[in-house]
Amino acid sequence: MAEREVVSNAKGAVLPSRSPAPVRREVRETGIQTLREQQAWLQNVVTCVPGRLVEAMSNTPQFIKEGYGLDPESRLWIYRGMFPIRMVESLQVDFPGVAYALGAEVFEELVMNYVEEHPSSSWTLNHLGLHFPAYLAKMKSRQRIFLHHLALLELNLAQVFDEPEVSALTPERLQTLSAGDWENLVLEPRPTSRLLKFDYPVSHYLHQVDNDLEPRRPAKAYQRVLILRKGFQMNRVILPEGGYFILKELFAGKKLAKAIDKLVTRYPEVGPTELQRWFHQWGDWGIFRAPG
Amino acid sequence: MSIQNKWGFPDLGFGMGLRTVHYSHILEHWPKVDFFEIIVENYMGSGGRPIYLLEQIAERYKIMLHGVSLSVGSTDPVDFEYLKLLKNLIGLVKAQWVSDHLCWTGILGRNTHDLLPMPLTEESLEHVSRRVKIIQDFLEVPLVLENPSTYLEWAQDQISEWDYLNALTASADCGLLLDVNNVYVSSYNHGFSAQEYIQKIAGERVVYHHLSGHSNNGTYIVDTHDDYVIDEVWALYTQCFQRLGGRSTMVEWDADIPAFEVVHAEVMKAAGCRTQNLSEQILGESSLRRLGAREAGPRMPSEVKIG
Repeated sequence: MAEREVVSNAKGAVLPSRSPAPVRREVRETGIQTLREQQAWLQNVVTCVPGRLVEAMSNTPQFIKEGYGLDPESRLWIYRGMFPIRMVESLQVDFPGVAYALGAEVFEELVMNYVEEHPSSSWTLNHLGLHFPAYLAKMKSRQRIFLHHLALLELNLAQVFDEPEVSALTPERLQTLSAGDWENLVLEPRPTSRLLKFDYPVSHYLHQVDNDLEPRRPAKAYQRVLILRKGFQMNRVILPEGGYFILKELFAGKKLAKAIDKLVTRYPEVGPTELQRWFHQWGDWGIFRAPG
Repeated sequence: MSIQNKWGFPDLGFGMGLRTVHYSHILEHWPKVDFFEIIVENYMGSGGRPIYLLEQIAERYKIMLHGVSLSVGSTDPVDFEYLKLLKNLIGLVKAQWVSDHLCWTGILGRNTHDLLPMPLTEESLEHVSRRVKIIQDFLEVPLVLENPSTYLEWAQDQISEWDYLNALTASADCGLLLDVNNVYVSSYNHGFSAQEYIQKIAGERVVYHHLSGHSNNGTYIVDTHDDYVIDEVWALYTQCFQRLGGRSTMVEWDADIPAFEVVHAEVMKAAGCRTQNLSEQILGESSLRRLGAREAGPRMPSEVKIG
């Protein structure tokens, strides 16, 4: 996945090629604005949706000086123009699959409506997309479930990227456990392991997007995905039904013995050899937290 | 002639921004650079690869901490959760100071993630001064504020930016990161003299310099950090050196980032300014004339006191 990087105070803003929307130049008699009022005014001009911009900028001359080379409105546009770019770029880094699926124009419009409803309230842009999957689920579109699940996958990938590194339970350590230990063993996932189930094969789709394979929206088909980070590399593994089932039990805090009992009842076709292979693999990937 | 900074912070030489596209080059070659500067928000609260790599690089290089989200000028309450994470990072790399911008990024619980300009008024000066003291008390290291690139001036502005910064750094007892490119950008956009700015800034407060490229759109300049430092800015940097003496200096290149060697060459060019009169040997007369040509803007009343 792409690594988000905030870079100093660099701006990519350029003034719009067209003149800014006409503004009302009705200047009312006012006193001195407080710092709070000045900040509230500028923030509103910078962040409001386009439909409210004319009103927001109507008293610009009261707040902003005529410039050396630009009028007050054009000076504001440098800040105003940068805001959507920053928001769209940020969510594009975290949700490249959704951005591809929607296309640039629709994605940009959607992001600005989303930001209006869920403005950033954090010092970091890493949290901007927290509500994005749920927002997509509310869309009036036939794609909404697909987009919701794709965004869920992408959000989890972004979050796992920044999770703290904790020691993993190794296969060697697992093998040292006695029969008694196994009975009551609770295997806790590391923060860098996430288990997800989707109604669409969104992991395949994202893989194709990442590799510029220009995928089309796939048909509905369940996909069970384990996200894991190993050696700071992000990985996604497609799980079989039984594998997903037992990991779900374990990630929910169930004892290993009970989880295996439930698995065998529900999926009798899973034999001990396969189960052993799974656990060896999961241990190798380091998806469980080391005890203590 | 030179002016010591108030804290006696040593001149650490010449550095560059630590950027992800250069990680592999740095880890493979361990190039000769005096220090790297990081954008603190890229590492705060992360337990993944960024912090792992930073720990490796911090073992071999000095690390400067530079922020973009402190929002020192905001009229919202100070964000102590942010400051806690920042303090952890200060401890991790053993930073002597931490820098951010004279700006605000949002109010009413919102964050625009932009460096919005402060009104240059007495009210704003008192407000920022109060907050700087609170922040420094919490962080237990000096806060070094950077002069921002700005694209608008407030109708209520009362003083020049250099007078504002001089009054602020004195009243709050904080440092100044003099970004030479930002001086140039704002002087171009607002029509003041960049040379006068550098001549009048409180030299004993300056602990650090930034240099970078920008985009000139004719009627205004945007601080894009996506190009080479222009000759006029090198001339201003030389002026800084002649007036203040050596200060730790870094080159910012944050968009369309070229190969490590290209940025490094700009860093070395900054070093060259200390050993030769760049204004004569590299720039020639034309750059200096162009600098002078932007001097005919409006003037601000000087001398404002607070408190």
